[in-house]
Amino acid sequence: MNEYALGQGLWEMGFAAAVPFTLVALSAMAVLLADLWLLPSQKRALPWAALAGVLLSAASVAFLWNEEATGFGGAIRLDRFSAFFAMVFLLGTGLVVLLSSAYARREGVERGEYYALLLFGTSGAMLMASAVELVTFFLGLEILSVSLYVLSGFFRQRPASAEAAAKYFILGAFASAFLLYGIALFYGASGSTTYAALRESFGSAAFPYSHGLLALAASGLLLIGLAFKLGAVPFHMWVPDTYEGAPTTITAYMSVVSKAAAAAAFIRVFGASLSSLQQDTSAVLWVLAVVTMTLGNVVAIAQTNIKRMLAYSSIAHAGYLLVALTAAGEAGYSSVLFYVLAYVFMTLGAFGVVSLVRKGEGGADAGAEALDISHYSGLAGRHGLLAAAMAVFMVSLSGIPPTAGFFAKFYVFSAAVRAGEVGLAIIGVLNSLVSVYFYMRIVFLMYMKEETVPVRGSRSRAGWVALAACVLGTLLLGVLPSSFARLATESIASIF
Amino acid sequence: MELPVLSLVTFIPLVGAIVVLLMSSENEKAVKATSTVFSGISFVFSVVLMVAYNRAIPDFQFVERASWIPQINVWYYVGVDGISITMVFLTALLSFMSVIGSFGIKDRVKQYFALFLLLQTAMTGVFVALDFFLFYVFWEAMLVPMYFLIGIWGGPRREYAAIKFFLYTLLGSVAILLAILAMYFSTTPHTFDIVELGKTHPFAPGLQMILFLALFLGFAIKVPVFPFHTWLPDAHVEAPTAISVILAGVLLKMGTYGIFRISYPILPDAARDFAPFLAVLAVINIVYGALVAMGQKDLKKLVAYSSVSHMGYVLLGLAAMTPTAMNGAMLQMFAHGIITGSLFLLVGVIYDRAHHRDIDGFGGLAVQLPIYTGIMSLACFASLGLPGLAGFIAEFMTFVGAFPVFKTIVMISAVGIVITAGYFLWTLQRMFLGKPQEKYAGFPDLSARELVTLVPLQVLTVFIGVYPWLIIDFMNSSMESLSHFLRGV
Amino acid sequence: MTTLLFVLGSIAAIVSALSVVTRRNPVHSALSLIVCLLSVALLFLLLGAQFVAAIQVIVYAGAIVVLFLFVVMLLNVKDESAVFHSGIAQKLAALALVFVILVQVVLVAVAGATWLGKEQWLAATGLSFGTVQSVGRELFARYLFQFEVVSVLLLVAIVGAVTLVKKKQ
Repeated sequence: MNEYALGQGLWEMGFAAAVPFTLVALSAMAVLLADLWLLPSQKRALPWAALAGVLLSAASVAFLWNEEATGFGGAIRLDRFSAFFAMVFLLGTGLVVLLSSAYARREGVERGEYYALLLFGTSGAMLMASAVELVTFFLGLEILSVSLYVLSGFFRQRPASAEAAAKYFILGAFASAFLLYGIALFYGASGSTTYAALRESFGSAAFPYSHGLLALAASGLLLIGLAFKLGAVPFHMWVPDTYEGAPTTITAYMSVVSKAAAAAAFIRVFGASLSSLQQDTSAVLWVLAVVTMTLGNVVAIAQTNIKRMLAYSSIAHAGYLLVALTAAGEAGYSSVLFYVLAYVFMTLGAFGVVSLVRKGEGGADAGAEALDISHYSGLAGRHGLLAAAMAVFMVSLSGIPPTAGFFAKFYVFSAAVRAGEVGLAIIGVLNSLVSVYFYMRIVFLMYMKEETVPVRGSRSRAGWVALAACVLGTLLLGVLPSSFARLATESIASIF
Repeated sequence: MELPVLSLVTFIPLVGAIVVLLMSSENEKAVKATSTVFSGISFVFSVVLMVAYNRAIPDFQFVERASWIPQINVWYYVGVDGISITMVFLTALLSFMSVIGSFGIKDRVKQYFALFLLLQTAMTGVFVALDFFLFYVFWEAMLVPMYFLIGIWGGPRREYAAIKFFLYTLLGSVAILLAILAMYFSTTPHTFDIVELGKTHPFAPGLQMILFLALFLGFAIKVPVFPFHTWLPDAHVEAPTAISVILAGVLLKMGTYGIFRISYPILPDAARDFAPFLAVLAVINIVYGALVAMGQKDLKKLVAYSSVSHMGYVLLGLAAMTPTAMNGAMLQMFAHGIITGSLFLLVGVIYDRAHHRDIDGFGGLAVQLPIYTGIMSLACFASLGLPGLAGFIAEFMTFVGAFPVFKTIVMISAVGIVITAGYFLWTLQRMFLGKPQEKYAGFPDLSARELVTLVPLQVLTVFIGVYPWLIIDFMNSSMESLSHFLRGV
Repeated sequence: MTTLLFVLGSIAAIVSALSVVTRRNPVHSALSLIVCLLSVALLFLLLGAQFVAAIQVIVYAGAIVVLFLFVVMLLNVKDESAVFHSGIAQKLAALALVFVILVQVVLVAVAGATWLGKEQWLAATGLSFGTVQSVGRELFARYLFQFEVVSVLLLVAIVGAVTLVKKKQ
């Protein structure tokens, strides 16, 4: 009877809203425990255990798809928006786990902690997207960040990996401090940390001037914290080094999940709660968007390491996301959601290919990761399918139809035009023109150059499944974007 | 249920591409046969289209319409009228001929044909799309296979040519995209419907000019209009033979087609204001292209620059806006497609044998390759505008139609005809007359496969030259209504 | 009595804070910091925030400063000039930052109280703000979820720390 009461009590507190998060966190703990019991020869089961956790949580999200609930006195909320992002995170995590199953073993980091931290990170991201209270949001961000600090330093023997982790950690700690200070100011001004209270205090224009100032300062601090997570210029300094030094699968995870989570939190805080400050934030975002896109694309051209190039490309894509966030409104935010989904497929795919190739026989460092862009010369000759997949992702990242990247950009830029930001749209379009150069260079090398360094592709079946899923997703979102766009619109409608 | 002929013409090659991709790359013969069959079926349907088309009315026919992305009012909306039907036919014909003409490809055969079929779908799509979004998707989707086809199977400087083509065209596309977005958001309700916009043409004159210029940038790069033509000689020269045929025969037409289909009906005021400038650009194209062509030593480059010159006639016809001139321009698009297509095929033939294209390096080929000489001469005569052949009718109509509007410009353009005649005759003389050279003695004349690709085009050239109404009949009613609309008659 | 204690505590806090930044010997700085933190704890006590005062003593004066001292001793730093060379620009920047933060704190305190009104402010934050009962109630009722989530965060931090320092198997 007691158990029943406890269960019912929990449910009445709105536990439903926290179910997907709880399941992922519990799976992470289960993976940690399983790691203790498994013999070294059985460690291959770890990725499958992690995948089971992801699927379990995804099933719970699907089950709660049409539900709405606010949990624990307004800490966390389940609605279509949370569900959409939970699915995006779980999709990204699932694909990363599949890619890792070969990569982690090859690179000697197949440990329980690796998968457990991936799942913990995902739980943090889910919390960021579903939180409707600043402390909860902050805790989610910290769970995600701490997991990523450790994961990016997972190659303990490699100085680059340690550098990646150290840079990310120190700058990340700064960003967290800014964020926390912003939260404190909001609390000071409104006496509460819930988004609902924020909306009440600052939703109407009727608050006194001093409070406007306070809200602006707090918003600015919060914005800095989120821009850091998003990898927007000028808070992008960590991105290239961390992306380059971290294990490739983790880089993929970082670029997708962490960015999506920051965008989700941004929409909840600034879009849904602080819409009265929109004019002020828009002006800042406009500048951020322009410098982020431009710097990302221009610097990417000069890169010789493929992970660094993709790092700058991810900065550029953060810029496109900022364009959509500047446009705001339901159209702008819907386009963010669509963009994030498209981005999962194309970016994970690109990093996935990177994680699957390595140097072949003949060199001094056979078996090492093939990270130089020149290693991709002539890839099509030996590994036609890998090269074809990479070509699809590159075409999509440069925004050429009929791929996901095209419609995503179209959606973003048309939202910008609709919001009257024609100049921003033009700058964005020109930027994506610049980006074609470095994306197509990879295609060019793969197809039109002779092999210089022998490169081998992994035969990992799990990895290939993940790549196939990414290719399919990239094409499907490009050819039939309608139902996904509707999903994005509905998700946004659920929080306004 | 009616047969969705247009979708079939458009997407059968795509199906072919997927089938080819699934085949074993070892079996090259099967790959070639499959590609021929799929491209052939598409061609057959395009013939069906021509036969069933009602030439008396200028309206869109074979219309198919289905909601695609309802959130932003995007439709899968296709149809043909007098402006596009001949282009659809031309695309299917030249693609079919090019597939057969590509049997000589030895490297990565499977990928080549898959990409080629993909390209065919995208090209056809551009001509049938009646929704801006769809149009743009096809327009852009064409770039990627083209990039690969030039970059992998092209000549020595293929990489440079491929990326230059890609970036140039993309720059133009971006301008088109912005114009499309601007149109979309300045209509209420927001629409991408080309037909609807052509009926209502709801934009203020100032906005029209901005839109016109943005669109023109995109189309002009494709045509190519001087000074945006620099990608063309590189791409044409480096591309493999069949791709040069497609580039000259189909891709260049997309620029002028875009002006016919989009700029003119939707932005009539801007079009009228811009017409004199267009005429000036046209005459520059005609004369400059011809002069540069005259200076070429490389046969393929010569043909490439002759295209710049010949597309100038199309622009002139467009600028004049009279029914005769526009019919002439449209006919020139078709005639230039088959004539320059054959010229590029012929350049490929001689290159396959001699492994060079230096005009001065040949001589006296008439004795060694009589059939080749005959067909080459026919194509050159057609291109320089010999009466009785397709090129003459088109140029003549353009001049007659444009003369009342731009007298001086037409007279200057006539100089272009003289120069064209000059360089083609000079080329024929250098290549075929004179003393036969020892090193070319063992060359086989045209093979059966080469004849299959060349003869139909020659027959069509002569036939249109004698009975041009065959093609004009298709476009006349659409051209007349467009012309009346533009000139406010 | 309260006022006297407040004035004493405040003066002690300010003087010791200044001494933290002016001492050249890092050990002296750390010791001054303990004094500073203890005097702030006293101020919290005067406000009736026993819990915060206790945390202040245990966590900051206890754990954190001891950590500082450990590091200082391990590095064996005798004089800060050996480690830091701060230029005039740096000092100015630090001053500016301090000023900004000060203004903000005052703004929050004054504006928060005036705009919401004292009653509302107290209602929002609670009269018993900072007592053991109120903190306990907040923590296990209103912020239950967040409290539980913190445990996940701590777990992640522990797992991470162990992962990074564990010897290779």
